[in-house]
This record gives sequence, C-alpha cells and structure tokens, in this order.
Amino acid sequence: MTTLPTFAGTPAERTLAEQIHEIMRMQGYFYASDAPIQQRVSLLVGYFAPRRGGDEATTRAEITAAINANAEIFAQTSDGEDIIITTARTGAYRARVADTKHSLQARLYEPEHPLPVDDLSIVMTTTRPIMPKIDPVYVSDYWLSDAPTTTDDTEQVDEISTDTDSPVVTPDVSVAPVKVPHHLRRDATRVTLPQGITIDVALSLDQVMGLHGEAIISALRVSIEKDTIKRFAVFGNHVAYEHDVRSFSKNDIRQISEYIENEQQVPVLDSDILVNVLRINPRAVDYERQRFALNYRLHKELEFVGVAGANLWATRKLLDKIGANKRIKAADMSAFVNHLEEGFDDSLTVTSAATIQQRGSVEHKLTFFEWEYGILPFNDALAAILPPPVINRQSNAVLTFEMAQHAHYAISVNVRFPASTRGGWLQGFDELFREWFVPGALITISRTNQPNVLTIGYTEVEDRIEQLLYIDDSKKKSKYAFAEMRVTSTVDEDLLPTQANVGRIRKIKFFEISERKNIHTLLENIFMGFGEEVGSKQDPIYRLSFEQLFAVMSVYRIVTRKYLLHVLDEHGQCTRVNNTNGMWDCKIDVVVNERNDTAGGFYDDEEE
Amino acid sequence: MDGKQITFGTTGFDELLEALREAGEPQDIAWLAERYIEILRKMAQTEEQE
Repeated sequence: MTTLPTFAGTPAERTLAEQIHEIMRMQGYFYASDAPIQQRVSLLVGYFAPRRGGDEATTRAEITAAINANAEIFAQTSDGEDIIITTARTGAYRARVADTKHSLQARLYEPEHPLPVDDLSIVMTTTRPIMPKIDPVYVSDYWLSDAPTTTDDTEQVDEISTDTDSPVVTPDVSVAPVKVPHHLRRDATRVTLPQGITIDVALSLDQVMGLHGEAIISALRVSIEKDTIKRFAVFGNHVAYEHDVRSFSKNDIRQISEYIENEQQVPVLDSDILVNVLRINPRAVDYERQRFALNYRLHKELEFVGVAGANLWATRKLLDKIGANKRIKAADMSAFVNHLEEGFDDSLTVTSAATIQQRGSVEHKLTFFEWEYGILPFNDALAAILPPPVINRQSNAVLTFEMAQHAHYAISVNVRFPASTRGGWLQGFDELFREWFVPGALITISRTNQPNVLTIGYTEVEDRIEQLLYIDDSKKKSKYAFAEMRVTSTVDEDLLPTQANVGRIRKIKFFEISERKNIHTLLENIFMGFGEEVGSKQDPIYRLSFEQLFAVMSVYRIVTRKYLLHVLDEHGQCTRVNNTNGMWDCKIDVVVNERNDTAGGFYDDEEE
Repeated sequence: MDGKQITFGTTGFDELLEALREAGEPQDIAWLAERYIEILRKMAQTEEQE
C-alpha cells in the first residue's frame, strides 16, 4: 500500500497539488515506490488548462503556486526551457544512498572480535585433506591402433635405435637433415571427434569407417541434431535437407489422427497412411521422399511406436490403451526392473546373445508376477531378438505377439524401452498368459518375417490339474489364494506356485505393489514366513534355501538371481551357511518379527 | 586447413548440406558420414598441398 503525502497551501493549491501528484503517480504506476517520477510543467499546464476552464497563463500560475507551496514533495529543476518537477509514489523523492557502513568485505578483513594469532588450531588442521583423484590419461587411438601400421623408413630407423641390444650409433653430422616423419606430416589430416578419438582423414574411406565408423556416425548424428539452424531433417537413420522436406497441413494431421484412432484403432504403418489417407501411390517417383517427410513431420504430432522396419504411428490416447494395466503403475514397475540396467541382468548366463540371435528365439520361464500382471522384463536375452528402437530416446513401441500354436490368437503389447538407468519391460500379456499358461510355464518367444510381429510358443504336455496360487481380488482386500488350474505345457516345477512350494505365502502379509519396491522388507518377511527357525526366541534366525527364496520373491516382483544374491550379500544380517547347498541364515529384526504377532495386514485363517 | 583447425560437426557442414541437397532423396546417415569424411579430407589436403 502506498502512503500518500500531506499537501500544504491554500485549499485550492492543496487540491491542485494532489491532482498533480495523482497524475504523476499514474505515470509511475509500475515504478519502485521510491523511484523518481519526472514531469514538465508545460505539459501539466497543457493537461490542466482545458480541464480547469482557464487560459494557460492562469493555469501555469496556479500550478507554480501549488508546487511552490509543496516544495518538499515536488523538487524543481530546469533544463533551460522548462521547469521539471520530480516526485515519487510515496511522496517526496529522496535520492538513494548506498549503505556502506557494513560490508562483507570489511567484516572479513576487519572482524569485530579477531581471533588470537597464536591459536594455530584455528588456522591449521592436522587432518589430512583428501587427495584429489587423478583421472586416467587418455591415450590417443593413434598410438593404440594406428601407429604400428605405419611402415616408414624413418620409423624403422627409430625402432632400431631404441633397441637396447643394438650398439650406440654416433650421429653423423655430415648426413643430410632427417626428413620429417610421415606421422608428423599426417598431423595436418588428423581430426579429433567430440568423443576425443582422433581420426586420420587421409586414410582410405574404408579404413576410416572400418576403424571408427560407429564413433563418426554417432558424433555426426549428435552434431546434425544440435545444428542450431535446423538444416538437417533426421528420422531414424535417414537424413534429408530440411528445407526440401514437405510439410503437412493441420487438416492432413487431423485426418491421419482420425484414421488411426477411429478407423483402425491400432497403430498404423506409415505406408498405410500414405496410401489410405494421403492418397500417394506407392509407385510414385517421390514415394520414399514422401514417406520420409510423413515420418519426420508426424514425429512432432503423434506417437511413434514403430521398430526398425515398421514405422508405426499411434495417438497418445490409443497408446494409453495398448497394454494398459490399471493394477500396476509405471513408476512402480520401473522400480522392479531398474536392477536390470544396474548390472544384475543374468538372462544371458545360459545362452549367449549371439546364439539367441542366430536361433531367432529365446526361452523364458514365466514367474508368478509376470503371469499375474501380464508383464515381461526387457532383459538382455529378450533384447537380443526384439527389434531395436528407431529414433533417439524412443520410449515405446507396439509389437504384435501371436501364439505359435494358435495363429488366430494375437495381442498388441506395449514395449517400454529401457533408458539409461531405468529398466524396460513389455506389458499387455495379461489375457494371453491367463488363456494359455500357468505360472512357471516355459515359453519360447520367436521372431517372424515381420519386424513388429513375434510369436510365443510352448511344448505341449499331457494335461494335469494343479492347485495353484492366484490373487483373489474379489474382496476389498486382495489376498493370495489357491485354485485349480489346468497345466498343458512344460513348466519349471520350482517356479510352479503349488501349495507345497509357496503355500506358506498366506502366512505373510499381502504386500501392495508400492510396498514391494523395498526388497529388504520382502526378503525379511519371506525368511520369516518360509525359513526354518534355527535361532532362539530372543535372537531369531531363519534358514532358507536360495532357490526357494528366489521362487517366493518371484511371486512378489521381478528379480534376477544375480540381484537377489547381491541383496543377500549386502544385507548385514544374512549370511551364507557353510557346508550347505545354497542355504542362507537371516537374523530378523525384532520390529519385523513382532509384526507377525500383531496380525496387522496379515491373513487371518479364521476369517475363511 | 590444418586438421587442428577442423571442428568436427561444424567445419564443412555447408558442403555436406550441399551434397545432401544434390542427392535429392533422404540418405542413410552412414552415407552422410562418408561424404563428410571426404569433405574434411579435401579441406585438410588442400592445406597440405599449399
């Protein structure tokens, strides 16, 4: 709130002075409260004269009288032609004076209570400072790979002279000056990539690309994407001159969106859009140019969900529906698979990526968690047969999975690609898994001729009925229950969630999805629920085999054996039991142990 | 031009763009990388001959 000044003079002068100040306040409405507001008297005369009904001379005299009567509020200066009055929104203008009485500089150099000079503990420390870590010295690729290949006469002489067994040769001063070594002359043709790699552009194109092709392409991609003038249009691995890439009207984009969302209701190939929406003949001379333009321009408008060889487009709304899983949030899921990107992916332990790629198929044991939520982790083994993403930072792709034994059955699956430290996964298998498999089933995922279509196969066995675990969501509180299920394919008996294998899970609290992110809590509860008590009541210790721990943990979340082993090793209270086959002892904190007695959130068998 | 004066990703980009424009069609990035190396070589060798 602005405090207005009190004006002096006759009532007429006070009124006029107040009006002048109001006008000037409006002029400086957005100024700081103490900033100077200036105005010429002649302009004030021009403003007030017609409003006050007097001539300019009379008005000037009245204004002069009013500002003279309030000289403290209106400071007067002259530029030789006119009188300029200065005021401020709060009243009189006061020039700002910098307060230099206290300054940090002065305080540092002249402290109020200086420390005694002889108190060395204040200025000296006996603690050894942390030695700075010295980064390893980068050795140019030239010295690692390129240098030995240069066979120059001069270099050969150098090599001989550095041999310790050879006699010392006295240099002959009469010999002509040594010619400049070839590798020094070649400095002029050496170019350093942003990654620090030096390439010799004088070598043949095949040699340069053979040695550093990937680094060059990667550096060039970064450079053209960062081009400030945006002269390059990039989509996937293709580049065009941006100016020559055609644009599409808003109407075109709207028609494409409607075609995908309303007519097809599945992600649509770029070629399909070109033919059916834009009416471009696939045999047209500029078809490929049009296809590139479509993909490049659509990238800003729609969701790209394709893979190498199949440029698929979807709308955001459609993508949200594909593989939608209301029971599990992406953030929670991400926490379950992050360990895959942290070096705990052991999916290639048995079969290498090269073998999987050669076969074009990968085997996978379906855990209870995967079966229940229709999710598969994006591990290295699966990545070996899945098509790679097309564009930089592509987060999603939509793949079609068909049943190898039932070709009519196909589903769309949403692939969430891993990114830096965030793990990836595939979601949308709920229906397929429940229809054809039981938890623990051994499935085979294979490539097909179409890059975005894969198959899931299994080996049929003689039917049998088993009482298997499932999540009973029929009541307000979810709980684990057992029901009869028909086993028709090969299964891993250890992962089959039978009463014998995981029956005791009903003694453990039903962890909600968000609670399962803390693997240590799960671990302790599993030890408590499934382990054999080997300690005392005051010092409870539970003993459990690693394989059983893994089988039960797989019910709750996605986990690899490597990660579980790491968690056990890191756990301060768990130790490997000597002379046993994979047995672990875990001492459980009293707090965790007490929860068993309170029955809060645990199953109460009497309820059933 | 001396190799030390060449900034990968900036030097010769106008020439690279011209090559891309002349090609008419969208090109694979590997093709573009090869053209770029050729452009840089030409620039470096011109200096060497001078």
